[in-house]
Amino acid sequence: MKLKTWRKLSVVAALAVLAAGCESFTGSSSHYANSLFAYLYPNKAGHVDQPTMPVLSLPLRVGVTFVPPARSGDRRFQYDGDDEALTEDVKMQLLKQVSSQFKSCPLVSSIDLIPSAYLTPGGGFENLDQIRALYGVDVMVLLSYDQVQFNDKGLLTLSYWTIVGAYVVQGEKNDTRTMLDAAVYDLASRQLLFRAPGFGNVKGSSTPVNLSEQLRHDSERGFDQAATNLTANLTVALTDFRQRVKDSPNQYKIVDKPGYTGAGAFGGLELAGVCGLGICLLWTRRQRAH
Amino acid sequence: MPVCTLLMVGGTLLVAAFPGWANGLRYDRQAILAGQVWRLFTGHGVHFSPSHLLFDTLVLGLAGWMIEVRRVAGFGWLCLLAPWVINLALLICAPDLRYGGGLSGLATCALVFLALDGLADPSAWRWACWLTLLGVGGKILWEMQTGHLLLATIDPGTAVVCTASHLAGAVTGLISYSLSTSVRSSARSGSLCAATRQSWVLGRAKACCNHFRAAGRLPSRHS
Repeated sequence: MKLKTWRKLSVVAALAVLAAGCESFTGSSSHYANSLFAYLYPNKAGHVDQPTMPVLSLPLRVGVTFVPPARSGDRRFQYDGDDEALTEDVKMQLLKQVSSQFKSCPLVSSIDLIPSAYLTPGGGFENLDQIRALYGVDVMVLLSYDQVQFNDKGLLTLSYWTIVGAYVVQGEKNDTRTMLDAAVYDLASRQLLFRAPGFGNVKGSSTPVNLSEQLRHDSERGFDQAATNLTANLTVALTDFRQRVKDSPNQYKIVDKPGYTGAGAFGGLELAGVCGLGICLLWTRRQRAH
Repeated sequence: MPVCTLLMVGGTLLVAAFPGWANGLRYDRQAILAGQVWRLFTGHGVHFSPSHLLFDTLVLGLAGWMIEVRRVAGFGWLCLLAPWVINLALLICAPDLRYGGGLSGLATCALVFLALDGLADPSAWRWACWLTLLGVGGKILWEMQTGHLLLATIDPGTAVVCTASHLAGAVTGLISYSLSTSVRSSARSGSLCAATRQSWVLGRAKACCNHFRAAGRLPSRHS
């Protein structure tokens, strides 16, 4: 091989190494999210709903869905990913996981998993009223998420200079932080009944060749973790909500509709009254015996 | 030993110990209409929360114990028949009620039964019974008027208030006591009638014998 050819090859190799080196030491991040606020109040930053008393017709029909991404024109809620973090089948799996909490509640008669394709971006409560009419649901669980994926380079990225290292050495450090939020709305009164968050944090590493696949895998694991955490938090929030309904009858009105579960009950005072009756009986018997 | 009370309370605690049984035993309107009539009886044994179970069994336990200590007749029949009647009343009068449960209806029935029995008592017990009847009546009226329980609450996460069960229990208690009293009195009057009838028959037979003796068709006593 001629000297001129060797020189050309050397220059190309040097440029490749330099380019690889430059890329290797810059971290990156991506942000995927949808916003409940952007869905419920599109272009209505100053909108405030008048507070009304939620009337809960028991048993409740509950709808569970993911909030759609923000409208393309709405710059307030534009993110890098534009709702690419979740595919529809993953969303349905997450909806099933979250809805399991409501199935165990005897005051819930049915749960409908509503595909997010049925929701219009920025549709607001008008869109939810359409869903209400379509599915006949009383209460809607709106799930929103926020996921950030950080990709950093470690010392091992030096091995990428060998080209082979880029295929075998896991020098990419990935950090995926996820938040899922469930907001439970009474559709008739448009009141937020309660909410619960769920968090997930997945750390991992990968080769640069395998990076996008690994990030996708981490993203799914992050959502899975957040959904598990959300389910636990939802149980607590649901219990708190029941207690609030019990303690504040002037904040929530409960009405029955066909198919409700009902029971009578006694309280401590009634029990005390019956105990008093028992004592009276014993006393009169003793008097009679004397 | 308050056998009937122990059986009722024991059965309820047994159902509570095996939560898996609840689905097959609770009051389920559609299942009952489909032929699972045992739910009319067993539905009373199913409770929706520990506090619901505790208060209901304690009230029924105490009321039943008092009835059995006072040896009020007919309590066994009450335990056997009243659960059917109460839930049958709910089946007819509360068509919106899909699922139900709890001993409170039966406990109200027992309390009314006990109090009605005590009204004839000459001692101070009578006044306690009057007070109980007034209390139960006022409480049920208030509950029917407002749709809420007066002195108790049900965990909203488990079931909603069904005031009709207390009313059905009280009315069943009233009917049970009236029936029990009338059965007792008719039994007494029935035995009197039988005695009267017997004595009338014997009297007629005696008169016939005397008539035939006088006619010479029967030998005289002396011969």
